[in-house]
Parts: sequence; structure tokens; C-alpha cells
Amino acid sequence: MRDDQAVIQELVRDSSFIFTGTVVELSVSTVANLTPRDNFAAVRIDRPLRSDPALGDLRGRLATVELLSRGELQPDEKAIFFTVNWILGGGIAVREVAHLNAQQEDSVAAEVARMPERHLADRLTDAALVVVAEVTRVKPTPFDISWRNAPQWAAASLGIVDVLRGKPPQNATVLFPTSGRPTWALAPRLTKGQRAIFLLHPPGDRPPLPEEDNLVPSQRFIALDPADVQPESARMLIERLLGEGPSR
Amino acid sequence: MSVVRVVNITPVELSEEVDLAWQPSLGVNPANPDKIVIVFHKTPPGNVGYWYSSDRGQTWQLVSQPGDQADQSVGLGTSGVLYWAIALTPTETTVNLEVLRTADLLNGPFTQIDNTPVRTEFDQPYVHAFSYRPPMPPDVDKLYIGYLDRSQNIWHSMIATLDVCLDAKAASPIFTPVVLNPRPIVPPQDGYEVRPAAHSDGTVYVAYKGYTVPYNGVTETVFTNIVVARDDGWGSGGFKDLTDPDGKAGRIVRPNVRIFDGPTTFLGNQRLNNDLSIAVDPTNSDKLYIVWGDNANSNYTLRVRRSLDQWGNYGGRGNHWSGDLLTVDNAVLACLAINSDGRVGFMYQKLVANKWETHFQRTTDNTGTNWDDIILARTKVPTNVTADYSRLIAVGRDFYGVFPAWNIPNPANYPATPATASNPNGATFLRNTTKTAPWELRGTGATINTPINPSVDPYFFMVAEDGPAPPTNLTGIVDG
Repeated sequence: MRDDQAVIQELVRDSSFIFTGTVVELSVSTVANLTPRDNFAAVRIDRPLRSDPALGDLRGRLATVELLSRGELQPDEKAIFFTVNWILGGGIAVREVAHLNAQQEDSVAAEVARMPERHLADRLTDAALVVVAEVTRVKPTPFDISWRNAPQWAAASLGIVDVLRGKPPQNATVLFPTSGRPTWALAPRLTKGQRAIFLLHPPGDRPPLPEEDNLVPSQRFIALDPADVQPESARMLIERLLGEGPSR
Repeated sequence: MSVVRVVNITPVELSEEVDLAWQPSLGVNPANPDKIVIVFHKTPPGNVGYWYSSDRGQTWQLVSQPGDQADQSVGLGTSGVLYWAIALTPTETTVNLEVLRTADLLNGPFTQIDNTPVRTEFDQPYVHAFSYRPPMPPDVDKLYIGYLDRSQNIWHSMIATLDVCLDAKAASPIFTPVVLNPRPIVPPQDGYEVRPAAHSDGTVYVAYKGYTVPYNGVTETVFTNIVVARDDGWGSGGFKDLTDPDGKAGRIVRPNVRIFDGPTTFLGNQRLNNDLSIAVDPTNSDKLYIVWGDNANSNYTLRVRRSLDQWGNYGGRGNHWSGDLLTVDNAVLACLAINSDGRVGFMYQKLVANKWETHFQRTTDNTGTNWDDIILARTKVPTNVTADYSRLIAVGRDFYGVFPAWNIPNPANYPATPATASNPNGATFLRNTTKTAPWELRGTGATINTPINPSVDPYFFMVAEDGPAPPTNLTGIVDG
């Protein structure tokens, strides 16, 4: 059984559903249409540690866990289950990634709580420019009909107040989606007068940029992840993370 | 008399789900319509799998699959094999089309079966699976995947393309991409809907839009031909069997149709220019119906037309088209299917008094001008943009469909399925709801008494002809 922090960090990253649970019965299924198998275990969820918020209150619910190997867990045994979602409906079935001793519960919970910070660190690592700035102007680009899920970019001009990383060009501009389509639902939307810390990334091949935005490529950035726009109150955290370097 | 089932497919386990369901698609096993699959597009990272029913839509299970999935569409063969075309975004900067196959809808595994080079620039896949029953078993699954291909042209052009696979159950299926539009390129060229429809005699039709004038961003207007192409050998001949008087493959059913498509032309938060569907009569491949939406007049209007040309007629089948048989103003999400009686089904959503009404209409005779009308849902216009498409499939005499709608569980919202003691919400809700007014979604466990914010959910429906063995537990009965 593995228990070091690096392993926990990796398991948390790779598991969509993590919980402390107690094995109720082996080789059974609690899910409609799912035939029992030798490597199944019915597990009572004692404490959800990471789960889809849409699942609501899971405490006391049974889940069928497809174990990596049978024989490692016995009825009434408690463990932390690192799993990925499998079936939701007519019960809950998940596939095991790993399990750890239940005594590691607080360490796992702490690592789950650190996920937003680790994600922010990843975004900082990838950012070409990190600045405190104010949006001085927002201008839509021509409507893009060529792609159904086109971002419908708008260009936000930044008045840079302070630089936390990189060398900003004279006229830094951030392209952000205005489309209401699901693809862009989580992307930050910028408004004139908005002051924040911006994690700016160079555009890639996708999503395609506006054809006629008249922007100098070196001045053009994107910010598509919710973590790419941070309140100024996060400055101490960001400076600390920038000082620590890549998170992994 | 017909019987109707309307089911909000979100299971009780996901009672606190608040995402937007988008572009739903549906597959039904033609040999066993108890087996149904629905996919749709959700707010990332919510696109994680497909929804499976083994009891003809009464209950549903989300089967998770890895990957960040965007646009997607499904089809099922008679052997129960699922074909799933997905726009996968393995990184923030790429999007790939993959065609996956599995014979086990709960356990997988999935096999990627498309053998063409990875298509990295495409949009809006649409799956049409057709199981052909030869004199000697087993059935052969023909698979047609329509999409817009942008990899063959300049960056911002998109070309209506149909992948043809003549034996999708083979160990190594062969996919042949067919570029449909032979007419001059007019950026951005072709419309989003590429819609195939196959018949057991080997005839395959495909409807698509070929733009005729470059997009005008000021007037937010598209001008497009509505085109139907035909192939008489399961698609193996490149869809050149129906020609237009201009000498090119593909009959222009209606030239230079005007459609508004821009940031200010939404209808009830639905974007226009998504409405093209075609259906062929399973009893007679001469008979086909088409529907499209246009702004020829002041309103956005759906127009249903048909072709009845027979073999040997000048120009062949699909050459002559009727005028409008049925028009519906201010309506979107149009889709057609024809059942084994030759009866045409037509589903759409119509904006009425600032609500979306989901209608299902069927022809009541052979004129094509007389239709009944079942209102499946009458729901609030969502605050965010919704949908684009829905899907309708006929199996035997029955129709199966999926549509997106605002999910308030008020029985008044579901006119075709009146409330009963056992089903107080009218439509069947699997997720937790109140059973009396105030009509609310509810959480689970500790939050069972907490209202959950409404959102757009996918709804399954079926309309069954009253027959010797009607499906069980249907939720409503309507005159048809």
C-alpha cells in the first residue's frame, strides 16, 4: 500500500470520485443492469472526498466498486477509494484506480483541497505574462460563422499596472469568448474597468483567432481558463506560486 | 389512438445537476427498441459519456467514458452495436473526430474504428446507422457520418462531407469520405447540417446546404442552396446518381434560401440556421420528405416538402419537389422520420408567448398536408442559448425522439402526459422533484428539501401506435 504525498497527489489528479468507504459485500452489484462479478464490491460511502457536485449528499449511499484485484479487501474493511466514474443511474458504479489505508483520509482531503491551488500553479507555469491590469476597452470582433462553436472573440485592451511575470508588450490585448455555447461556458468574460490579475497565454492553433482583428501577434493573448483571471486579493498566493516554480 | 411517453432522463443520482444540455442525439436499436442511447453536449468538463436505457426510455443510466467530449452523435445497429462519433478535445488546442464502436453498452470496451487520417478540423458530426438484412444473416451495418470538414480547404472554409462505411461491424471497417458539394466554393461554403437517410434497397439520400453568397456580417445573413444528393449503391458511388439541371451532382431543392444567422438574430435564445432534415419512406425509397428553415418572409419558417419521383422518371428519384406541405413559423430543432406505415413524423420547437413548445406532428393521410399535433412540452425560454438540434427516429410504427427543455417539473408543462397519482409531474422525472406545487427540483440526502436551480435537461419521448403489444408504463394517451 502506497502512502507518500506524491502518490496521493497523483491519485487525486487521476481520480474523479474519491471517498472513504466501508466494504459491505464482495462479488455483488448494487447497480441496475450490471451483472455481479468477482472483482466487484458493494461499498458504503462514509465520507466523499472528491465527487461531482451534481451527485449531492452521498453519505451512506452504496457504490459498486470494480476492484483492480480481488482479495485485497474484505467485508467491514474501511479504505480510501480512488476511482473514476462508470455508471450513474439505477445506482452508482465506479472503477478503482487505487485504494489507500483509511488513516490517510486527512492527507487525501488536504490534497483535494489543494487542487484549485495546484491548478492555478499549472496555469501560472503555462502563462507567458502575469500582470495586474485594468481593462481599458472591450471591442467585439466580426461574427464568426465558420464554426458552430466559434468563440465569438472580443478583444480587451489592458492598462498594465504591475508585472508579476514576463515582459508585456506596449499594447497587450486579451481575446476572450463571448459565445454562450457550452464550450466556452467557463471562460472568463472581461468588462471595461475590470481590474484583476491576468494570466495571459499565447494563442495556439485552436481555437482559431479572428481573421481580421488588426492585432500584432506579439501583443495578442488569450485567457480561457477560469483561473486565468484572479482577484487582486490573490496576489500573495500568486507571487508565492511563481516563486515556487512548476507544481510538478 | 397513440400512447406517449415523455421522460426527463436525468437519474436520481444526479438530482443536483444544473448544466445545460445541448445538441442531443439519439440511437435506437431497430431490432430491440428497448435499447436506446442518448448523447448530448454539456458544459465542460461535463461531457463524460452517454445515456443508456434498457427499458424503452423508462429509466436511464449515464455510462462514463474518458475524454473531453464536445459535439457528438450516435447510432445503433440491429445487433446492438453502438456507433458513436465524437469531437474529442484531448488538448485545449486540438479537436479530433473519432468514431467509436462497442457491442456492450454498459461495459465496453470501445474500439476506434475510423481508418481515415485523423480529422482535426471538423464540425458537427451526425451518425446514421442502418442495418441491412441480406437473404442470409447476419445483418450488415451501414454507417454514414455527416460532418463539416475544414481540413481540405483554407482555414475558414468548411465542406459538407459524408463518411461512408459499408460494413461497420467488420474487424477493420473502411471509411470513405465523400465530399458532397460540387459547386463553386463560397466561403464559408456549406451549412452545418449534413443529413443522410438510407433505405433497405440500397438507396441513400443526403441533404446538405451549399452557401451561394459569402456571409454578410452586417445583415447577418446566409444565402444557401438546399441540396439533396443520392447514391443507389449504399453510398459506394460517391452520391452522383441524382443530378441537377445545372449538370452537377445533387438536386437543388430550393436555391438561394435566405437565413439569418448572427448575434442579433436568435429566436428565443436559439440560434437559427440549424434546421435541415430528410427522411425516406422505409416502404418505398421513391418517397422522401425534407424540412428546412428559412427567413424568406418576416419570420423564420420551417418548410416541409416531399418528392415522389419514381424510378425511371426524368432525372430520377428526388428530382421533383412539392411546394410547402406544412409550414411552421418561429420554430427550430426540426427533424423528420417516417415509420413502417409510411407515416411521417415531424418534431420541432415553436416559440409561443415566450415559451418553447415542443411539437410532434404526424401525417394523417397520404396527401402530406394533413397532420395531427401533439404538444410534448411547453417550457420557459432558458436564460442562456440552447440546443441547435434534436433527433427523431422511427422504428416499426413507433417514433422515438429527444429534445432539450427547461426542467421545471410542473405537469402543466407537459400537455401530452397529464399528471396521474403515480406520475404527478406529467412527464416522468427520474431526478428528485416535488410532487405537488410549488413545482421544484430537489437535491438528495441532506438536501432533499432544498430547491435545485432549474436548467436545460434532455427529454426522451416516444409516440407509439396502439398495437397488439404496446410498450408498458406509458405515461399518456392522445388521440392521433
